[in-house]
Amino acid sequence: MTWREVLGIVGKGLWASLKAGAYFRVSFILKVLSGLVRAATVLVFWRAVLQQAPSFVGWDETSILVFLGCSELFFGLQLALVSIAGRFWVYIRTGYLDVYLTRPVDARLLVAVANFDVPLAVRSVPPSLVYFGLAAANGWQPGAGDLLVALAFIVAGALLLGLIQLCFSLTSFWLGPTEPLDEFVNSLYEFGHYPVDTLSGWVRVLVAWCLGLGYVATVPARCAARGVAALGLDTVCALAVGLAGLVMVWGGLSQLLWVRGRERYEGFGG
Amino acid sequence: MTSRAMKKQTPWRGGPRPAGPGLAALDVLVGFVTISFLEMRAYMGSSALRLVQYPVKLVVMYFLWRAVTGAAPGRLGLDFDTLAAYYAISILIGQMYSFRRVAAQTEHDIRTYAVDLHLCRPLPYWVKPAAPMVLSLAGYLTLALPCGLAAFTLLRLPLPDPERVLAAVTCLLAAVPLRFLIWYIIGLSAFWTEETSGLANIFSWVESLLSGMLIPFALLPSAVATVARWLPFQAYAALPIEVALGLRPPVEVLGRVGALACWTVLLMLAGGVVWLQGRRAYQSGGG
Repeated sequence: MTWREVLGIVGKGLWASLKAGAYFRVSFILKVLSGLVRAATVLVFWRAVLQQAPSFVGWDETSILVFLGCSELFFGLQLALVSIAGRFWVYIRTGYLDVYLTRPVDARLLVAVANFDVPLAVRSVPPSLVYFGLAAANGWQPGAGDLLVALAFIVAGALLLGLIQLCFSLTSFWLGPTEPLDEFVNSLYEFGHYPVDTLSGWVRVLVAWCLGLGYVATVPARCAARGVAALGLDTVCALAVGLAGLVMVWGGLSQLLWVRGRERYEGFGG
Repeated sequence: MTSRAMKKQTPWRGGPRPAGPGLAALDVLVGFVTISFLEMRAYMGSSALRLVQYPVKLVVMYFLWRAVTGAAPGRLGLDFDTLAAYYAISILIGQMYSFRRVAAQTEHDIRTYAVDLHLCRPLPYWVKPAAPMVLSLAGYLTLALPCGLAAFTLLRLPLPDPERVLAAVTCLLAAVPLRFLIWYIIGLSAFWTEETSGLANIFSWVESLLSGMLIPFALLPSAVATVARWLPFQAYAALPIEVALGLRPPVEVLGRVGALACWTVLLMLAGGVVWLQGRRAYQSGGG
C-alpha cells in the first residue's frame, strides 16, 4: 500500500467524521461550551496557584497559559485521532477485528479511521485560543518557527501516546479484556495536564521520558513560550531525537505484538 | 444452570409483592442491587478499577503542590501537609462513584427506548440507575478506608481523628441522594436533547470547582468561595475534608445535613416534574 493511498483513506475518514459532526450541531455547540467552561475552571485553579507562587520550577503565569493551550490542543488531537488505540482490545476480544482483517488495508489504520472524531479536535480550539490570547495579553510574542516546532512536537506526541495505548491494548491477544490496563494508561494522562518539571526523581524519568508524557505539553510549551533560540537548538534537536527514538521503540513493540498476537488470534467464536 | 442454582441466584424471591408502591420500589431496588452484585462478582477485576486511578492522581497533585509550596514557603494559607492530606481525601472521594453513569444510563435508556420496558411496569424508573450506585457505594466504603490509610501512611501524614472521620463519612453519605438526583435530572434531559454529554461536561466542571474537589476553598478567589459556601456541592468534598482535617468543627455537619435534606426534597420534586414533562415529550419506540 502506498503512502498516497494511506493519505487518501485518512482524508476520507476525516471528511466523514466532520460530516457526522455536522448532523449533531446542538450537541457540538454544547460540547464547545463545555470546553469553555472547563477553560474557565482551569483558569480559576491556576490563578489560585499562581497567586500563592507567582513562579515555580521555571513556570510563570504566561508560560503556564501557553502550557494550557498546548495541553488543550494535544488532548483534542489525541482524542480525535488516536484515542481508539486504547479500546482496540474490544475489537480483538469481540472478534470484530475479523471484519477489518478481510480488507486489503492494515486493520489498525482502518479501525483508527473509522473512529476519527474531528469535532473533538475542533472543540479544543476555542479554549486554546482563550489561553493563547491571555498569554498574548501578558506579553507573549511567539515566533512562527517556534509555533511550528511546538505543533510538530504536539502531533508527534499524540502519535506516540497512541502507540503506547495500542501496545497495552494488543496484549489483549494474550490477556483477554485489558480494560484495567486501559484505565491505568488513561489515568497517566493526568500527568499531561501539569508541567512534568514539578515531578522529581524516578517518577520524572519514568513519566516524562519513558512514557513520553513530557512531550504532551511541557516540551511544546517550552518551545512556544521561550522560543527555540532561547532553549538552544541543540536541546531542541536532542528532544526531537528522543521523541523519534520513543516512537520507534513503541512502534516496533506494537508491530511485534500485532504480528505475534495475530498468530494466536482465532477470530469470532474462536 | 440447574433450576436450584437459578433459584439461588435469582433476585426475585417469588411470592406476593409487598403492598404499596414505596415497598414495591424498595423490593425492586433490592432485586437490582442483587443483580449488580452478581455482575460485580463475575467481573471482580473490573469492579476494583475505580481505585486504579487513585495513586496516579495523588502523585500528580502531591508533586505539583510540593513544587508550589517549595517556591513560596509560608505564603499559602495552608501548609504542604494539609494540602497533601486535602488532596489525598479529595481524590479518594472523587473515586467514590462515577455519578456521570447515572446520567449516561438514563440517557441511553431514553435514546434507545429501553425506558419503554420500565413504563410498562408498576415501578419508578429511577430504581434502575440507582441500584448499581448503591452496590458500588457499599464496595467503595470497604475499599476506600484501606486505600486512604495507605496513602496517609506513605505520605507520612497525621491520621485524622476517628470521630472526625465518622462525621465526614456521614456528610458524604447524606450528600449521595442529592448527587444522584442532579445527575438523574441531567440524564432525563435526553427526553428533549437525546444527547447529554455536553450538559454533563459543563456541570461536572462547575461541580468540581464549587464542591472544593479541584481546589480548597481557602485558595479560591473570595467571591467564588462565598458562592460555593452557599451551595450544597461543598457537602461532598470541601466540608467533609475540612471536618476530617480539623479545619471545621464536626458539629457543622449537623446543620449541613439539614440543609442537604431540604435541597434533596427540592430536587426530588424537580426530578418528578422533569420526568412527567419528559414523558409527554417522549414518543416511545416507533412513535
